[in-house]
Amino acid sequence: MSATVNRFSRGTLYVLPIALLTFIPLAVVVGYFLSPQPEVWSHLRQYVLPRILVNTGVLMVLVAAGVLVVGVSLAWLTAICDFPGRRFFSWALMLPLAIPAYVLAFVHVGIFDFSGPLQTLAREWFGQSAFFPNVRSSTWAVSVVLTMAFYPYVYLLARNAFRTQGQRAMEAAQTLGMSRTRAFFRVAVPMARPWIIGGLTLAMMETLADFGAVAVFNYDTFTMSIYKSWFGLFNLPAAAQLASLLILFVLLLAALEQRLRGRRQYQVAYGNSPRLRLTGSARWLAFGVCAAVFAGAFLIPVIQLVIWSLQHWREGVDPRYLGFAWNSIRLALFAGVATTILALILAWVKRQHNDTTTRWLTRLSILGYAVPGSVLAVGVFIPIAWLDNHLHAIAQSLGFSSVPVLKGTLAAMLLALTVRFLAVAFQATDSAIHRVTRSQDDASRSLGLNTRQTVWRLYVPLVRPGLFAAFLLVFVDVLKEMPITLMTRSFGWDTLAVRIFQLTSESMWERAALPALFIVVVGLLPLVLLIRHSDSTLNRH
Amino acid sequence: MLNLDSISVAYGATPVVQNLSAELAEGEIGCLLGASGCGKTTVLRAIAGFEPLRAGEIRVGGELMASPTHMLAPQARRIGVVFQDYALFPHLSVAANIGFGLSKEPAVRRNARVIEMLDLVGLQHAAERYPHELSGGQQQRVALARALAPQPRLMLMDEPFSNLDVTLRERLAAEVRLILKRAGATAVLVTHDQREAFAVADKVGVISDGRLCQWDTPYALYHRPADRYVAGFIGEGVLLPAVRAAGNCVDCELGRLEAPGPHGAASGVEILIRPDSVMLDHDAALRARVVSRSFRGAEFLYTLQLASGRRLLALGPSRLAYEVGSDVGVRLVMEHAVAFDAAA
Repeated sequence: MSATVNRFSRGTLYVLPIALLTFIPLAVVVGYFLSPQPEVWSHLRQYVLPRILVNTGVLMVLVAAGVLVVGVSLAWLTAICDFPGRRFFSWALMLPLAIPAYVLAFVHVGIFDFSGPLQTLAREWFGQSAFFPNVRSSTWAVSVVLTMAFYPYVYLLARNAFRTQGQRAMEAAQTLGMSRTRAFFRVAVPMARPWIIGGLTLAMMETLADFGAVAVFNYDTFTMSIYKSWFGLFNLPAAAQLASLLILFVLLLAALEQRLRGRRQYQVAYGNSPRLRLTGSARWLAFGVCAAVFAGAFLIPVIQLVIWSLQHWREGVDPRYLGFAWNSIRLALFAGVATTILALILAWVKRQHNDTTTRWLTRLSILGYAVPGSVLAVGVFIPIAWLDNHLHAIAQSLGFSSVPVLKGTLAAMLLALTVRFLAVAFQATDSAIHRVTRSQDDASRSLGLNTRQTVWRLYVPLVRPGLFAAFLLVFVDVLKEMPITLMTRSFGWDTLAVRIFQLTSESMWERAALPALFIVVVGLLPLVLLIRHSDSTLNRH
Repeated sequence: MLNLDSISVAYGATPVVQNLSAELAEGEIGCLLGASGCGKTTVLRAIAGFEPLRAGEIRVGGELMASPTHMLAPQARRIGVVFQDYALFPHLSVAANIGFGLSKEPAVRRNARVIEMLDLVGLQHAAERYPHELSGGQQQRVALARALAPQPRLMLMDEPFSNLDVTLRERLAAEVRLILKRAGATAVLVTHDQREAFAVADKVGVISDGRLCQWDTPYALYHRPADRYVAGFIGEGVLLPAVRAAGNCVDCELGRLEAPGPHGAASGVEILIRPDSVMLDHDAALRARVVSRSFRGAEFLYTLQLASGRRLLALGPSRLAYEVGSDVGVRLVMEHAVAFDAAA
């Protein structure tokens, strides 16, 4: 209610340490961009950059085109049209979100591989000479897999936009003499543009950040080169230099989104308009398109995972899996709790103090979500290694044995994961806290309750479901996470995702299937929440 | 009971309420009336303790609530508030909502009080329901019961009827007045609708631009407005130019009228003519022409044009309709006129 905006407040004190967690790794990486080392640069420019720049650029263009075509057309079909299976597809087409891109990648490579079921079948039918395209390190194959993994971002946002605001405007356009198709392109799509651009940006961020899928295809992008420089050539400065360039890409992308999205406005749909009832072959075409995407992006991969897991099960499961799973769960639990607590602090401070500095620091704190995991791994590792050297000297002078204090510990890994996923927890927590209105807060006080009692009797019960959602989302994200875990763990401390990386780099798809299936099943949990939520907000029509 | 002594409130450098004074006796219902953005809700929030004072004092039952140097926390004021959006707690049942402010009471007393409140607002059957299962009017009564339950010294209500169906408002306004009177509560409500204000309040304050123009009974506001703003804001009417004459009288186009009250220096004044003071009378000497009319159910509101070209509003029974353009006789029926110094 207050119209005055202060520059500083006590809130700044609480948010500053959290913001530093994000700021230091970013500053370290950006610092490498600002102070390039000539010998590292010339090596990169000669041997690395040309290839990965072209690779990354081509991949982004292809995936952008792919997710736009697939995402927008599926959104239009399920939001505006009516055809057999529409209700099922409208939520089922979100399910691929549960499958990490690297799982989708290795399953598809496994299926199309020389020893995979398809090629084996082709050889049986047509003999050895049967032609089959090589899917490994094919740009097209990587793009198709990433499109299948990331189209749901565009689909989800575009569908909401079409459902909530496109309908009325399209009817208005039709009364003004436009055909339904023309109205779609002239009215519905431009109106949904901010959401479509938003979904596209998410998909592009994920493409830039993807490590596991391109690793399966052995397709060199920035993230791959950062890993190879660091762990293949043990050249950390080169990795950091590459990371700083990748950050530049991300910033460009964010700036581009700001330009393209325009002003996003939320509108409520009043009532429901009748759907466009598809007839004849069009109905079956619509069904076919949805079914094909659903099969390729979810059904077939899951079935294949189940088949491989069963085979592996019969041959006897590697007992170490239990240990890997326990590591994964432990890590996800810790990271989930840590991010949820930090997010709660951020959201609470944001509500209590609305000064400029606190707002900016809050934004800075959640910036980590836009930063690829491999970049964060570098950004966290370097200052921790530096700190370790100093602590090490102190420890030795005090007579302790020379073990690294922080490097390669759970703490370093947790720090990077927390920075990366704080935004996820923050968004869920913040919207939960907003469910307590100012007047409810005031009402509690006017009924004689002080701050502590208000928090306990009003905020805690109302915010609890949101906190659980925040925890669950981060839990699943950490479970799926690959580059940070891979690059900052101590040697031998493997999680399921790390194990999948190791197995797939040796083409052992069947053995990677069981951990992957576990991750997919757990990943379905928050998705169920999401689907139920979007179903209750958009009435099921 | 409630004393507002020259209070001022500001947001940053912007003054919102300036030098406002008002008093309310025990058991009275007061109402702050004004257009949106006039500062009336800010006064309410200052009384509740959600906004600090820049100047002045607020006292309840003689006890100092707020001054520029002293501010009692909202939870220590024992002032009940019914919010515009009701602010019910969605995770609690109706009974638990009403009992929310009674946590210090022993359980037996608390339950008894909740039942008493449910009785008072007529929601005995809905005790175990949740807010989202209630109608708007029921939600409002829960909010009222919740605020009344801890026996506050003063009740505040912010636009209590604005979220309700127009057809329901007047009935509920009367109902709320009855509940408040039965509970013996002293209350202040805020509204922009004068019909609500008149239906509920014993005393009404018209606020404009952060200033209190007049704090009076509804009858006095209508018949003896203190200034032009109140005259224009409350009810309908026109201002006719007039000249002061001897013995508390003024002369205008309609004849000589009695207009008591303080005399300004100017001899030129304007007098307020309400439509209900203008009788349509066939035989009257004063003639006017019907320019337009609007149907109001029980009556017509006519706009008349006098010989001078000035206009007048008049009410006439709806059975006896005059056509637009017809010639009518006009007679004034008023105890005395209200005169304002002519506009500069």
